[in-house]
Parts: sequence; structure tokens; C-alpha cells
Amino acid sequence: MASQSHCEHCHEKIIIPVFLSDEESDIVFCCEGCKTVYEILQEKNLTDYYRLREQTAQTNPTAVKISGQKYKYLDDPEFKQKYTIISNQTLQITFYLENIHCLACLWLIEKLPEINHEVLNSKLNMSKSTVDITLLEDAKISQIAQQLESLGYPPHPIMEEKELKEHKIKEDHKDLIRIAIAFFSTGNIMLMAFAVYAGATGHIEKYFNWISLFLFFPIIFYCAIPFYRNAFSSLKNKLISIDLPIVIALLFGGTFSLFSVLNDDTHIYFDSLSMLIFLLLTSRFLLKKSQQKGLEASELSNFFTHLIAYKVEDDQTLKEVNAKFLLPNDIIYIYPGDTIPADAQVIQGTSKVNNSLLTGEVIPQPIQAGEYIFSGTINLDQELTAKVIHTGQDSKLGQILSAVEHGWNQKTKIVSLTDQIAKYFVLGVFLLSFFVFSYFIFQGRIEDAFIRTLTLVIITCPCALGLTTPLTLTISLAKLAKKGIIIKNELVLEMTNKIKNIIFDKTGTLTHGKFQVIKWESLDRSNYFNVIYQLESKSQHPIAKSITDYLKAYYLDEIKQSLELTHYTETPGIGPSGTVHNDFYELNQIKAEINSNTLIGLYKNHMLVTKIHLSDSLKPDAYNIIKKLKNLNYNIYLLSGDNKLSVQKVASDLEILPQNTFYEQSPQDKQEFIKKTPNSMMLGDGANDAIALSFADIGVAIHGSVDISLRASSVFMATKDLQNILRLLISGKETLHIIKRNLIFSLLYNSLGLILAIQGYIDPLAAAIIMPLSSFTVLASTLIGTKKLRQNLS
Amino acid sequence: MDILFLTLPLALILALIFIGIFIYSVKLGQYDDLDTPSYKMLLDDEKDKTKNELKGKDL
Repeated sequence: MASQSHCEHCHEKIIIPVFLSDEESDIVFCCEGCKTVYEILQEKNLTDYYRLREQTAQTNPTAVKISGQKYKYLDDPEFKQKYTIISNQTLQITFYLENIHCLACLWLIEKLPEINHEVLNSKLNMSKSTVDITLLEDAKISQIAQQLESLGYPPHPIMEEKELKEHKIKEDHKDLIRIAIAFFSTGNIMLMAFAVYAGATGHIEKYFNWISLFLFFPIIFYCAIPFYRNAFSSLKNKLISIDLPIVIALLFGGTFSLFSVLNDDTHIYFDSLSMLIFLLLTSRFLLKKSQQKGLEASELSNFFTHLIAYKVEDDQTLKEVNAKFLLPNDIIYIYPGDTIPADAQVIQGTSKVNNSLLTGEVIPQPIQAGEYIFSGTINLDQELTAKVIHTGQDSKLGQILSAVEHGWNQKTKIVSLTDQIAKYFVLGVFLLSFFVFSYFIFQGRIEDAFIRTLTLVIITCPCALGLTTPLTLTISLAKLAKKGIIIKNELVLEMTNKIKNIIFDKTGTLTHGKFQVIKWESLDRSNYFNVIYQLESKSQHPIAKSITDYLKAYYLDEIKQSLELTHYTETPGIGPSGTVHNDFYELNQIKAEINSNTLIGLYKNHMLVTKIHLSDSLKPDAYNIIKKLKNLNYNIYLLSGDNKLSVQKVASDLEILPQNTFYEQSPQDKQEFIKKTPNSMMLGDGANDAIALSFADIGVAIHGSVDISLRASSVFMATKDLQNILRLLISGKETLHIIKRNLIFSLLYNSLGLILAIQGYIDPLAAAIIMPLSSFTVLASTLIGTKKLRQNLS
Repeated sequence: MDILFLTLPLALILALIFIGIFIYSVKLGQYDDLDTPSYKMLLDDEKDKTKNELKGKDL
């Protein structure tokens, strides 16, 4: 049992305790959300959850935050039609769930049918955090969504493109079957080959060779199809990939061996060739699987945003709809604290809007009737009524997102190191075989000419070369993913070595992206922590939240004491006020200071007694990281949409050169900057960085990214830890180092084989030894090398 | 050596049976999600526990 000062459910420190309503017990919670989960679990006899979590979870769960979302739009027929699959009077829907983190989550989610009897089946995919739920056809989806949220897993529906999904599953099945058949053939061919090498002769040898030949057919006609396809498609694009020499060796070797079987000759290479195909297929499958962790870009574009809009109906009532279903000319009502659902023109009301998503500006902008507000920004102060102008794709945010997609498509493809080498490799082998062939022809040794050239082609097949890169990348990607660095394109790791310029966004990347108290100035020697806490804790304003967070963190004892506050009022746009012990207190923003900080004042009977300085402060490790990067000879740039003063302050704090600092940058400015800066890595978190991220050689989206589609950038950092930038760069370097070392190994083996082949020493037995030996050397080198990688990462 | 004449084909037939079973299980979708089952095996079986027993144990 948790100690008294910790929440029974989430184990966080309790600030204001919430007790179980009906019983006298020492079980306390940090918030209503956690209490609700606990009660649901008790009621449904699902308390095994806690026992499981104790045993398996490495991290504590987060406190349950209930948004109070009603998810009503989930019951709209229009939604059902688009997002669910209906068959046999059941309904299937897929949600992405937040906060999935351990076995206990899995257990609880799969118990969903016991909690809600309309749920027939629920299946969680841990690596993607998605759950497939089967329901009765007339079940209310909104109710299930609410239940998921009250269990602490806010759900986001995902539209499944049925055909795409089925296609992907079929591809996976085919891959697995190919590997299995390759393994089956290889294993049996090797049994036969061993018998022959061990000395089986005469009719036994002949009989075994014929079986091997038949076992080799599935390899060459079925398992190797992906290699033919890749080799052919890259040839069509006038490229030479590593698959081409593999295919050449396979086809030549296969035909050569076939004739040998027919003519009772000994040059039979079925065992080496099939083993090679099996190893290559396996390593590529593993790489593919390690990239598929997490949601894919195609799934993200269908991600259903949770943006709720309140539509004013003709009879002046409000209807809750999802932002996706808004149309131009609809009238919407926007509550303070809500995200604005569409580009709109304000008809009624004045307020302040936080534009940081679009511009990077932290300081709220005043807005009044007639002015325009944009989708994705946040209404801070007061209710607004507005007329919708653009929605979805046409909105400013939508345009940015389509520009992002455009950026991805335009980007030049990175050619992997192996494919670069493959080009010279193929050329080299081709020239050599030509010379060898002509040499023996001139000498009049026609049989030797054929046999030696063919063994040359087979033995130089770059199997180790093809094997090493996928394996090294698979291991590196998996290790980085454990640290919260999710890489969608494996070539990013090779690319990190070309990076010279690192470009940072300010808000949310180097800073926290929200106001924090940086200075507390007491003017009459007494603290008013509790008074301020009581006043601010009732307000929804973001600044109020920053102040209460600060007080909770540092002056917990003071604010726990009870205090009688009367006559509380909050004047929108100005601040809260109230009376304590006959003194009248009010909190106001103090205007027009020269520096970029925001200043809040507490007035006691109209006398200023406390000043609170707030600012969007730097992340604690920002300075050290920038310094380390500078020591590693990277050029650091700061590119922000925020105003001159705040940007310059951050730049000087971080010692970024003034000529490398740019302020008031629009998304397009950022894009232009990236375009003319080669070898760049860009880090950002807002939609205003999204275009630049997609054009940068490496775009890194940082945790907290407002729009989920940013997760589709080539690198996504799932933690706020800036240390991960260094991890990414260092492991990129080391991965390339391992790949290079492996390339040298495999080229050495190939040269050895080459010399032996020309001299005529290579027979099937020698090939059967040399080829697997080179593969295993490379494997061992990869495993040893990546072990070092893990030590460096921690 | 002649025994190989018999045993190797036998091994081949055995392998053929296994590959048939494997392809069948792939088609059934047993390998579609390779991560979640690795967690699931840690869960205890609950089949023999009735709801009442659970109640008595946990409350």
C-alpha cells in the first residue's frame, strides 16, 4: 500500500487529498480522476491491475486527467460510416490510446468486455498503442470512449484503410512464408550436401544432388522474388543496388549447378546459395519490423483530431460537433481555454489568443470582433462567437500540413552506403570476370574459363555486405527507440554523419513552451503564497496555472493551510480578486515592462505588495547541450517566430552567435532558410516548424508537438530530454563505424575468395566454408559493436 | 552410409509437415502482432478462478 502522502492510483505526491467517498480508510488520491479509476476497478473486481503493475511496470503511470470530453461526435452516423467496419451486427473500431505503458495496461484494456457489456472483444497492440474494439452494432461508441478516458487512456479514433491494412498484413505473411520455405530448403539441402562432402558417392550422391535441385526450385522461383524485384526496379531507375550482384550470383550459380547435376559434375552450389537467401531474407524482415514500431505516416494522416467545436444552431442552441464536420459559414462558439477549431472571423467578443502553434509567439495577442482567428491556436480569456471561413485542408494549419507532405515527397532520396559501394562492386566484378574469362580463352583452356569465371561470380556474391547493414541498423534503431528516439527512416542514421548545421526552434524546443515563474518579488516582507494560491487556483487562465504549479512545487506546506476566501470574483481579461481577513486582494497584470517577461502584481487594498515575474524559461539542460554540440564543431542556429527581445535573450543565455540568430520567422522563412543551408538538422515542435522540418536533411520533432502529424517526421523524440540529440548524433556515428568495419571484413573475404577462384581452388566445399564464415564474422562484429553502442547510450 | 538413403528423405517429409503447419498458422494471423503476446505470457491464467473467488481474495 502506498504511503499516505502518495496517491493510491498513480503514486504521485498528493497536494490536495481526495478521499474515497463512502468509507473511512487511509486510501487517498491526488485527484478525482485517479479516484474514479480506482473505484471502477474495485467495482468490477479488477484490482489485479495493481498487483500486475507492481510486478511489471518500470515507470509509474501518470495522474489521470479527465478532460470532461463527451465524445458525442463518435455517435454521429457520419463518423460511424467513416471510422468503423460493420459486419454481422458488430462494429469494429480502432483507437490510439495515450498512456499505454505496461502489462497491467494490457490486462486492463483486454478486460474491457467485463466493464462494458456492449464490448464483445478488445485487443491491444502494445507496440503501436492501438486497440481494436468489437462492439454490438447499436452500442454507443461515445460511452466506450468515455470509459477508456476515465480509466486513464484518452482514446483517439483511427480511420483504417481496410485495403491498405489487409495488403500490409498479406505482405507480412508472404515475408514469413518466404523465410520459412527458405529455411526448410536450406536445412534439407545442407543435410544432403553434408552427406556428399562427407564422402557419399555413386548413386547416393546422385540421388541427393537431384533432391537438392528440387529443393532449390522454391528458393530461386519463390523466395528470391523480392531480390529480383528490387534489382529490376533500381535498374529501371538507372541505379545499381546491392540486390543486383546477389541476383547475378544466384542465377549464374543456380544454372551452373543445374548443369553440373545433369552432367554428374561436382560444381554444385545449392547449399551456399540457399543459405545466403535465407540469411538475407531474415535480416531484411527484422529491419522492416523494427521500423514498423509506432504508428506509421499513413495512419497518422487519418488520425482523428479531438478538436471539439460548439456550433450555434439556428435556434441559438449549442451543438457539440467534431471540428472535421464544420463547414464554412457555420457559426461557432469558443470557450476560453479551448483550441480554435477552424479559421474564422470573430463576430462577437474580445479575447486574447495564443498563436504559438502558428508563429512561435508566447505572448498572447488581443483579438476583437472583425479580426481573424486561426485553427489550432488557443482562445485564452473570454468567450468568442465567430463565423467559420476555412476548415480542414484549406485552413492555415491544413495548408502547412500539406506543404509538409509536399516537402517529404520532394526530398532527394538518401542512397545508403551499401548501395553506393554496390555500384563499384558490380563494375569491379564484371571487369574481373571479363579479364579472367578472356585470359583462359586465350590460353585455350575453355572449360577452365567457364568454371573459374562462374565460381568467381558466385564466390564474390556480396552476401555479408547485404547482411551487415540491415542487422546493424535493426539493433541501433531498437536501442534508440528504448531511449525514446523513434526513427522512421533507417537511412537517417547514416545521414547524421553529414550534418554540420543544427537549427533549433526556440519555443517548446529549447524552452518549456509555457510560462514559468522566474522571480518572486515581495515588496512588504510578507509572503502571500496562500492568498495567491487560493485566488489563482480557481482560474483557468494559463498564467494562473503556471503560478499555482510553481506554488505547489515549492511552497506546498504554506498553501496546504486553510484560508477563508470570500467575495471571489474573476474579471475576464483582468484577473481574480477576493477578500481574506477583511483585506481586499486582487491580482493584475502589470503592463509595459521593457524586458520580455510578463509581470503579475498582487494588490492588497489597492497597494502593490508582490511582483511575480513569469517567462518562458529554458529547459535545464539546454545550455549544456548547446555547449557540447559546439565543442563537437556543429554550427548552431536559432530560428524563431517569436519577437526580437525574447529570441535575443535566449540566444545570449545559450551563447548562440548573434549572426546565427533569427527572429520573427514565418513558417515560409524557416523553410527558405533550411533550403539554403545544406547538411542541416532541424529541431522543432510547432506546426510553424513543420515545413522546415520536412525540408531539412534530418527533421526532428520534439515531444510535446502540438500536432500529432509531426510524429511523421523522420525522427520523433518521445521525451523532453534534450540529451537525446547527442544520443542520436553519437549513435549515428557509431552505427556508421560498425557498418564500415563490416564492409571491410566482407570485402576482405570477397577478395580472398576471388583470388582462390581465379587460381581454381574454389570448389563447392570451399564456398560452403567461406561464404557462411564471412556472414558469421560480420554478425559477430555487429553484435560486439552494438554492445558498445548500448553502453554509450546509457 | 546406406541408412542416409532412408533418414534424409524422412527428415525431409517431417520438415514438410512442419512447414505446412507453419504456413497455416501464419495465415491464421498468429504472427501479426509479435510484441503483445510477449507481455501476455506473463499474465497468470484465470480460467479456473470464478468471480466469487476473486472477490474473496481481493476485498
